[in-house]
Amino acid sequence: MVLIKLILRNIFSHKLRSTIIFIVISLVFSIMFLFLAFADGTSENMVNSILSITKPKCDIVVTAKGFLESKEANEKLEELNKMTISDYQSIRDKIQQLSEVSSVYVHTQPVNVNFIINEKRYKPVNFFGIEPDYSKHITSNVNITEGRFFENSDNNVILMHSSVGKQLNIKIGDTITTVGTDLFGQSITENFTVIGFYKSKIDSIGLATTALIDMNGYLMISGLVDGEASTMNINLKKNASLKESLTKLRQMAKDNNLNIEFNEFNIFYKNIEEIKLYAAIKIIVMFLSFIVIFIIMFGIMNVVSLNLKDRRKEIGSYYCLGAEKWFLNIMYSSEILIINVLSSIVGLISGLILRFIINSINITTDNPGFQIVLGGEKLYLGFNIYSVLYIFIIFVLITIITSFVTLGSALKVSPSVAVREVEE
Amino acid sequence: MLLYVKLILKSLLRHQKSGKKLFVFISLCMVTIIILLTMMDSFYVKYLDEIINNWTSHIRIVSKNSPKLKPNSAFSVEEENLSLIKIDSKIEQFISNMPEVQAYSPVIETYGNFFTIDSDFQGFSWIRGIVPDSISKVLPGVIITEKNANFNYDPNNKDIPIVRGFPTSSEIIIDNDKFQKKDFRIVGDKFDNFKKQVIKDFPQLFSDTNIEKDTNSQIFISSLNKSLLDPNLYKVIPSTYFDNYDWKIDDTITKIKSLDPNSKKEIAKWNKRLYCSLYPDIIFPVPEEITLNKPLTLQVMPAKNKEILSSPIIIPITFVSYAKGIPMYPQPTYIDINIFREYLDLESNECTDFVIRLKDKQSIQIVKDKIQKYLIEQNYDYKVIDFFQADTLGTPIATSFSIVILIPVILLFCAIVIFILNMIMLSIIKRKREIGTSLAIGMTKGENIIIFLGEVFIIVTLSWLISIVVGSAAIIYLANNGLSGMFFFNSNKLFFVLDFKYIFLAYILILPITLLSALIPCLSILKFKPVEILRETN
Repeated sequence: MVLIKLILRNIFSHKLRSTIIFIVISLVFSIMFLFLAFADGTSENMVNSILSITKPKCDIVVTAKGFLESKEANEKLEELNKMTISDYQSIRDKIQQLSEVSSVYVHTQPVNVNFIINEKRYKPVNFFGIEPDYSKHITSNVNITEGRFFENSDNNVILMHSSVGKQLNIKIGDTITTVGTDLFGQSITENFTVIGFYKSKIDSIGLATTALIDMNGYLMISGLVDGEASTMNINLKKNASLKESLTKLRQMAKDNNLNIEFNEFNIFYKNIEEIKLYAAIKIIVMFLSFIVIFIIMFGIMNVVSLNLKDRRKEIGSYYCLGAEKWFLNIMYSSEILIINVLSSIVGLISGLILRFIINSINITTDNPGFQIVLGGEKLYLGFNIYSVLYIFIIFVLITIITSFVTLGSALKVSPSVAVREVEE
Repeated sequence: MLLYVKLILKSLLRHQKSGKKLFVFISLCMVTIIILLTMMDSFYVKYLDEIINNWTSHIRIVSKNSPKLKPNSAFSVEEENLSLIKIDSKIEQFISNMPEVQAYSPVIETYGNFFTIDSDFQGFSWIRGIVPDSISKVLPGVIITEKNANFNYDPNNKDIPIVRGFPTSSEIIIDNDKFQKKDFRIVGDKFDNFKKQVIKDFPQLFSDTNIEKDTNSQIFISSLNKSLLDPNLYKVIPSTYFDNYDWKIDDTITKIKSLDPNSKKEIAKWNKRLYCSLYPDIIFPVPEEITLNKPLTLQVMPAKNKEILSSPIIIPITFVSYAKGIPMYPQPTYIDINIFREYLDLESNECTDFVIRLKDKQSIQIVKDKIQKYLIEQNYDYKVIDFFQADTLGTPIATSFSIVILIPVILLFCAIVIFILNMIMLSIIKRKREIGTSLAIGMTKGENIIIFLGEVFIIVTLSWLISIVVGSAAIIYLANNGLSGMFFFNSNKLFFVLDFKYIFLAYILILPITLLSALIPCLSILKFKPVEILRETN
């Protein structure tokens, strides 16, 4: 109790010095937090823009048995395409019966084919089929800028990215002819009517080559039959355990003799190149921040050491009053720790406030290069608890190193200093 | 003046210890700032150079319909017909006569797919038809991995030599000459049955007595791998496998017979294929790795007048080398433009781009304007674009990375301001008695402030001098050896450019900041009353 009292008294009796350390650490913490939030935001943006359509985030991915193994064994694409789930409607019903499951939907493999409009033939574009159950999920990720979204009665209709509509002067009601080969290498031609244009909520110009079509049309150009699908995505309820759900799902498949397998999303899509790129950028950002923090640590040590030098009389007085060195060590270390932790918390809070403000300003860009850097059209600062922990750990390390380096020599004070009239 | 200098120096000597700490701190900051600013500039310059040297060159002449003229061209949907231009001898003559021009070449840019002789898809690539001898002149950054590779078309050779874009990580195939557990489609009981079948078919290869106890199949797989090295493996295939003709088995045996028995890797790879032909439902197909000097086919779409279901053009090719370009960009494949034109049914002066490299980057605008003016005069509607227009990604990436580096620099400046404030403030408190005495003997408050600021000036200047040595040494080292881990560059390294402007900039920026930071606590001296100070300290 006495120790805590003394620590707090010391902090307040040297208000100005404590404030300076406090400001520095808060400022550095806050900027470091924003710096890493930028790196986190780019990958979050990527997940919420292009990947939200091409590889939508879910908890569990359902495929035909052996699909993942074959994929990792570099099985030919045509062979992989043959590994499909049959009668997905009944499988979906069975999965939905599990209390942990929030939603299940089919996610289609893209069919990469050319298209013809206004008598011009264009390079291949990825056509994704939108199954009615998937509609609910995709509408939370895309905005319809013109026209309408899919309806159950739709047959051979298409939604194109708004940038393509403008670029190729496509209008609602126009007919697009797809030309190429289906998932099994068979030639196809199919007409689609344009019903509208979409934009991802966090848009990316990279989506220009992604077109959305209704499920009937998709069956025509993919070569799949009704009830056949390559992958299904499962979202679990908030409190459901992933491991337990996987065990239950696998048991359900075994009991019903279903030729399907369940994999965690992160295992199924562990090699997403885009995410790897942003992870590499984050490492560079972390490295740069580490260098800066190291130099600032030297500055903090300097200030703390000078502060302690200036308090020699105070230290001497403690010795006169019978304080042991370990006691002073604990007291001064705790003082440094309290200031550092409090300022880190303030730094984090101010960083969060700044993050909120910057995200609210809604800074966007049309430039494809900047969109690559930002992961989408919008500057978004993300939040990752590991980044916060990284900065916290560094600051705790700074505190420990500062205590070790500065206290050792600063506490070598003779008690006589306390009673000397003027310090040397 | 001399007295000031004397007083400042004396004061510095008297407070050596705290002065030294400030000196080390500012030196560290200065060195880091110099390195970071140089890194920022080097990244920007080198990255744009990388794009010019590998991807765009300095200037291009393109058709008015070229997709490169469209905004956001990097991601726009492009028409499959090529936007062609005709560069006649008059234009070529005009360009070659320009003193600023170093090299030029017509280029045809399109895309194509590679297929093996077995019709297996082996990848797709951005294809560049170019005059082979000019590649090192117009795109000097492109690394041709085989030093003596020649991709000039020789009519005596059936296959057209091409330089393949460096395979991406997903295209590189390893371990296709040995078995691993992941090579099998089946597990559990089915795999045990397969093991029994293989042991029954090839009893002589599985003599290990422990094979029965081989629960995790390690002995089985290692025996299988040993058998891959046997050039006569095909001779022990049970005759039942030949009851019905299987072209895959037949072709594979023919290939193995033609191999040099000492080329173990090739033998192992083809024996693995042999097993795959014998047990196609159990063993995954053995992928063909991308190698040089092997016959392949290249499929490209016709350059013009495409019908709804037009067939692709098939070109027999062989890879003679790999070409390494900028990471994160497509890796183009290079082919002799003359033979490419023949296959695409184009005239001898047709191309999609006419690429021009200049002697000096500074003259881009002048040359661009001159060529554009000439083309208008000659009634051509072609457009002249520079590398900024030809590539919409490089500049924003370089700018963004520079901003990322600038943030720590700003942070360091903030830290300097706050630490200097604190240190000077402490010094003033510590030296109250000294200041009081000097005021008592007649020195003015302003003179005291000058002495303080003088000390800061000397410390910052000395720090700067040291940081010139340390910073320059570090930059020279990084200019020669490069900073590793920079995956943006072809060499994976960023080579710094020593630019003294940043050394001076660091001083010009830090000196006023430190002096201002020191001035704020120094102003408190103005409030000092000598009698009170002396009384207080006593």
